[in-house]
Amino acid sequence: MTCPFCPLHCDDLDFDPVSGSAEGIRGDCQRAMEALRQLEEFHADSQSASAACDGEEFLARCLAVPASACVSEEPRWVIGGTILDLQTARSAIRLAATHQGSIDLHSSSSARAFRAAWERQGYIGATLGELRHRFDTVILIGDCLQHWPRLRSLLQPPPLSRHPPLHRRICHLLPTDDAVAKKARMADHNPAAETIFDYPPGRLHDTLAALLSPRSGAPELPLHPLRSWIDQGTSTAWLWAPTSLDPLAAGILCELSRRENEHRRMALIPLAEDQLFRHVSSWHCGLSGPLDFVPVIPRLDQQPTLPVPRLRLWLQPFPTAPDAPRDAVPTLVLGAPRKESLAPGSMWVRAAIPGVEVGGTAMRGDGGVSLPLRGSSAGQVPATAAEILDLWAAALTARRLDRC
Amino acid sequence: MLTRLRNGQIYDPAQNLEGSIGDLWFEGGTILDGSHIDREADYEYDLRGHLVMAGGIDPHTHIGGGKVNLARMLLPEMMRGALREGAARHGRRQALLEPRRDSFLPPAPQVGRRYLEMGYTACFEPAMIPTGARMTHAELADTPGLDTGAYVILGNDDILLRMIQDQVPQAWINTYVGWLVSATRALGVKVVNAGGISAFKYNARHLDVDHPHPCYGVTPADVLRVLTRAVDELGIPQPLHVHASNLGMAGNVESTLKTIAAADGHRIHLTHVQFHSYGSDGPQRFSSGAERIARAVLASPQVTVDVGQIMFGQTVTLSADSMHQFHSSRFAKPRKSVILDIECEAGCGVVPFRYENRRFVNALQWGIGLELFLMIDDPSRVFLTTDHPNGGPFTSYPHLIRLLMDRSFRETALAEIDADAAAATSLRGLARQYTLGEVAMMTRLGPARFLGLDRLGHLCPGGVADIAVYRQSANWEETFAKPAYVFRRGRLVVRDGQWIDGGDKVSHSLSVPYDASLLEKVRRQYEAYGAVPWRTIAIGEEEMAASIGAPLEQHRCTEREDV
Repeated sequence: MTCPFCPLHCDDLDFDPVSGSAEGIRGDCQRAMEALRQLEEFHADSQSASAACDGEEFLARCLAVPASACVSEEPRWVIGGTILDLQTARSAIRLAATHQGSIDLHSSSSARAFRAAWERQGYIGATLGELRHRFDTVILIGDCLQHWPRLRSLLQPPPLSRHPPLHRRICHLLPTDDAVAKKARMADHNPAAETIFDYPPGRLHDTLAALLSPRSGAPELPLHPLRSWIDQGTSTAWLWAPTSLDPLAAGILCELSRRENEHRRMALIPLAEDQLFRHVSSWHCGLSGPLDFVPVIPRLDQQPTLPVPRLRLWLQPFPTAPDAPRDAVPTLVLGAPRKESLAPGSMWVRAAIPGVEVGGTAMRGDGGVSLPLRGSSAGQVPATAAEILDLWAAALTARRLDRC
Repeated sequence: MLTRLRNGQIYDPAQNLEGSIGDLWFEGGTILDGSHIDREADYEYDLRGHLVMAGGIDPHTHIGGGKVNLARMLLPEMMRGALREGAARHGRRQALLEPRRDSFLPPAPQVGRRYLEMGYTACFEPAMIPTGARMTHAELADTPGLDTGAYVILGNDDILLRMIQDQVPQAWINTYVGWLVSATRALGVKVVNAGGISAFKYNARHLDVDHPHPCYGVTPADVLRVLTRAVDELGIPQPLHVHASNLGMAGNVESTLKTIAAADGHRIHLTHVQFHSYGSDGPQRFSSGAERIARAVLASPQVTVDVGQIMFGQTVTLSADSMHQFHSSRFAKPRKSVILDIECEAGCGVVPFRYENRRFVNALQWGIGLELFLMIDDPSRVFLTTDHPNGGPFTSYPHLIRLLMDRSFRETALAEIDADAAAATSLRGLARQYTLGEVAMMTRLGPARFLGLDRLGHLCPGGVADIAVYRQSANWEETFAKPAYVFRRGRLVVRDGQWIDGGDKVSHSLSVPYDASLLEKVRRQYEAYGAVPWRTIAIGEEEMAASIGAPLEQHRCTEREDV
């Protein structure tokens, strides 16, 4: 099945839905295996409980009323965390829209910077499937391989995809310090196909701007070595690690994609955790989040302007997904949190981890649907996050009708 | 509940009713034969002075899928503006449901509502990428109150291009097409710029109908030939839905005529044909090719078209035709665009655009669309569309109908466009005014027959009780903008042009028989050259109903004697 644990959404996770056991899962991705191991521990530790409040355990359904009571009493509440699948996205939006909440999902700094840039100026891009089959030159900004361990194998061209076969070159564009360390690590690792360029820390935009220059009427400038390297290929794809892009660099990258395509193919490949949610929210209300339904009109704002919530619903579909902030805001965690991440006073409700039955699409991962990956082995089937959110929405509605 | 609509003027081309005064009975969502009813109706509506038609059907409107969402994401400032205006007018609570009347990219809940408020009850998304089928169906499922469906895109996928290059037997291609339509729960097959999107991925910027693809060596004509044949041999009711080569380019009328020829006598539907009817004559090297297209269509009974009329104002163009959209991105307004290569299947281009009546090219495009409507004198083969939102929003349909039905109104509008463009069209010499019967054919029965939806688009006994009731007025735009009543599967959903209830949700798809013995060969091709695993493509019936939320109405293919 399709792996839900990172935006690569690898399609070869082997899972046995009958046993429901992680033992049935094979894979060579450390990130996926770690997530699965923690998930297994989580389920092993809490066979009897499907929910807990301040350490006291309940069945999940018993928390529907108290949870809805919490939400209904708070004028400012927000849904945060990670959404992997269509159903949870739809349910979260319905809950927030109907009961005046906000949705402000986890998003990396690169994703935020790139999003702002492409809303401002657009871009030319491609999906991972296209990258794999067609692009002969790939530039990875930051240590993408550390974040997405399977990326290297994904960058191996499929044997039958092209005739003549595709010979792919990979460039790591890294801050200087990281580049030195990486060179040392890569000394014995496929140096012919991979190369490293560095940039002064915090000055990625200078390097990218230098790539723009030769095409924009400044022939007197010396050609940047990365430009020469790019020009040896026929088509270039760019990916970036979650913390590598700043707003200025993202803007230049978008402009670079436009200008390069006047002559040759270049595509940006954004891998962001919140793509699926953004698609769903855009068809529900025209905007793609963060969304504030408190004034009922969904309002698209940059994150800092969303007011501080007084209650947070945090979606953590697997233990290694981002934790809720450890602040004073009461938090109701839905999914499979790490135990140590729960702040005092928090409630959690177990939810089945949704798998992702993808097939690619405009942004890889936006075709995901709920497919409970885990939960049947212990004789109890935890509801999916979508079902629990729907349950809470119904309880909230009933509560309001009671008041009327 | 048995319902009777009394004394309405009924326009139903299926029964040759052209304004006959009569009654219409329905119960449980189905139209009944009134002559066999011997009991009192539970509800009665006196419709004296009202026009009664079947619910409208839009066979080509981009209301779902990744490209639509990318457009919304690219233009948050415009989406915000539309919501703000709705809020100012209707109050904050209604902002999500009360769209701005001319909003060119309404979100799904507003799409359903606005279509119903014009008397349309069925709308079809024409460009569903196979790997995006789940998301497209989910968005359509969240579009309330309409019958929906989608056509799957083929013709630029590496799998098909490779099969044509390898000259595999037609039976393999038929199996691939049949499997893909069934697996993605589609209602038909669409080709967008055959081979051109794929060629763009290899840095080609132009691919005419008889030019070889830079990698596979096959021509768009080859692709059209095998696909039109596959669609006919499989008995898919809808002809191959073709977005021809060179969209929007001056002189592309030649490509369009070659496209008709490439079909080799098989059925073919030319979509948004207005964008493909341009000559290159005159001082601005841009002229109307409408007359040549109209002659070709009238001479070829296997050809149907929808027009893709442009309407003046701001909109956003979105298409799988990334080759063309890349070219037109230089004219973007505001100046931003998104162009994507998608999963070895197709592409996507989103380019915001503003059509201006004082700009020669835009004004002439407007005139060419109207010429096509008026010159193709067979409303069963020409359908009313604006290729929403590419030519303009679907909310402009009442205005467009008035342009077609009212010559004096058309003359007034013609006087307001660029003078050179007005002189370059032959609109002044076209006296034709559409009748109500022709409008009913073009917007109801014609699209229903074209799509193979036997129970939609007419008011015969046994048909679905999707019924639009309009107040007759001297101003046809007013008439069609605000129906007095709309019944959706027998339930009243609109009164006085205002939505009052959701209505049922139905998703139409096609079950296509294919040669299962060849499926393994096709699967091997797919796994070698496709970007996603074979197993992820198919959407189960239960998944459609329970997970995606789109209850299916399955249709069967027809055996065609003429193949």
